[in-house]
Amino acid sequence: MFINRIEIEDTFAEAFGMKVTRLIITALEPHWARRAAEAVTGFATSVIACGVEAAIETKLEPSQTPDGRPGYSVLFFSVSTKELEKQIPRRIGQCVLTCPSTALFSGMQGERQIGLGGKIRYFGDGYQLSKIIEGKRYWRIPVMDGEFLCEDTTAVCPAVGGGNFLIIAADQRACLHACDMAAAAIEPLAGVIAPFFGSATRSGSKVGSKYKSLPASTNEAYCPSLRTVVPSRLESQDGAVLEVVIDGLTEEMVAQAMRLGIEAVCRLGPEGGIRKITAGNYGGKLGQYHFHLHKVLA
Amino acid sequence: MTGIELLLRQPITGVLDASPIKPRSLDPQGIGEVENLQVEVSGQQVSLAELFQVRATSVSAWVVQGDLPNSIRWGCGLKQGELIIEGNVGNEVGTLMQGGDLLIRGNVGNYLACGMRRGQIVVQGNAQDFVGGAMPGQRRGMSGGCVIVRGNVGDRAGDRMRRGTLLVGGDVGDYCASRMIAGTIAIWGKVGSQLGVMMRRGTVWAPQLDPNMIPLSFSQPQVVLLPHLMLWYRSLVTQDERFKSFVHREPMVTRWFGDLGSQGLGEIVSPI
Repeated sequence: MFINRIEIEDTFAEAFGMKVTRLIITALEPHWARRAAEAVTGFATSVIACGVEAAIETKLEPSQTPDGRPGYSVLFFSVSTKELEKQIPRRIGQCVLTCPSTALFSGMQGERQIGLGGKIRYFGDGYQLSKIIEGKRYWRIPVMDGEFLCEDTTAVCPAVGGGNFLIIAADQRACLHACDMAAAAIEPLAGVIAPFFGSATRSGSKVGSKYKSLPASTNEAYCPSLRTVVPSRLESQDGAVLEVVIDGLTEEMVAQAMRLGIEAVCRLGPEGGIRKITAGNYGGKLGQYHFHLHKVLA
Repeated sequence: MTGIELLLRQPITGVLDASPIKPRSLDPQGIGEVENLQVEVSGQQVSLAELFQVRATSVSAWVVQGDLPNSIRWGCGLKQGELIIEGNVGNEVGTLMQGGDLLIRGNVGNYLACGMRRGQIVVQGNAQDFVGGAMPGQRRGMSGGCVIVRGNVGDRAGDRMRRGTLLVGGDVGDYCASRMIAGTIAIWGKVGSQLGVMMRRGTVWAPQLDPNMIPLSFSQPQVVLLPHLMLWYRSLVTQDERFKSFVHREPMVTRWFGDLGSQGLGEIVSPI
């Protein structure tokens, strides 16, 4: 299969079932909400060592937020509800509670709930107050600029994490530009995030390592510098590979993001230095979701 | 589902205990069942048909037509459905309610919504003392739901209230929010003396507050920003249009903390 003379390899991306929650951060000014959203989703590129994969989902206008102030919605993905329950209070306690003028709300509905304000209310040292408004409990924690308002709980829902495609380009500059194009195509979509900066990672990994303590290690088959010494998947003209990783609320959302991202990259054509699109998988034995590139792009 | 209309045949002599009259789903044959419903009038069992003419209607609500100031316990323990009373009623209306909607187009007596847990009560007229308070012998007042009184309420409104919302369109009497444990009371009109005395937690919101009515055991007033009021105003716009004017304002209030002689985490706030 070729799109704009770029070969799409007949393979699939292997993705996993995950758990997700959406939070809404608001503030008096949009840039303060942005700062909190960036901080709370920092160090959240991969569940391998960060516990969660997280990113800003979208900017919200005042008419779209619970308190009528500007805000951002952020998505957090993790391997289990328990892990989310562990990571979220830690992050909001250090990154949202601390950010001036912010308030925090759940942006997801569902039966399974995890603690949000209910976990960090003790920062109020006995002066915290709660209010139930329209059936939802909110915590009011006194802080030095007034009160930090935080919803008591947030819902956790099943999701899909680890959708991906690999961009093989002639050189690093072309590959970076392609990632920018993919990121711009994916960014407006609701319900999906690309947790790595600029949507892509250069350290695509394989499962395991020669060192027992490491759960993952470099994917040497796609390392251009090792092409002559390992069983490589690269050709002599392939100079750089970057992996775009996508997490989404549903399989369809991930597939759509992959399609739009790949199409944006392919628009650059061979003259843009793009040589091939492929995907990362583990032989199909680990992940329950298989995104076949040819089907996704059909 | 069939609704019911109860038309009062003639003024009732004695006190009617209306607690057995609770709206529920009925098929058209269920009218007879309603007619035979036994209620007490001054301790005597009588069938509903003796007091009211019972008619099926196309709306789902049960509607009571007639002035019934000497009837008590309308909607007591109500769990579901909608009950509308087109007139005045007596004491203990909506006590121990667990759900559903109760609308009274006239005035009500004492103990409205005492011990209420869920649901909504709207009174178009006035209510007397102990609105949303505790049932006699109980330690805690209403623990959920929403009570809206468009007119005035008497003394001790929200006494020992545990949770829920009480909106008063008019004035409140003395000792409003006394011994309040939690919850929210909004008062559009004037407040009586000893507001919030022995209050532990909870919020009283009153735009026409006279500071002289606040006990000395409260803190000094302080201007503060309370972000949660943005949500609260928005949630109440459908109940009272006057909240609309607050929705787009910065939620600044003057606040008194108290009662400092009790737990001291209650707050009386007046929007600026």
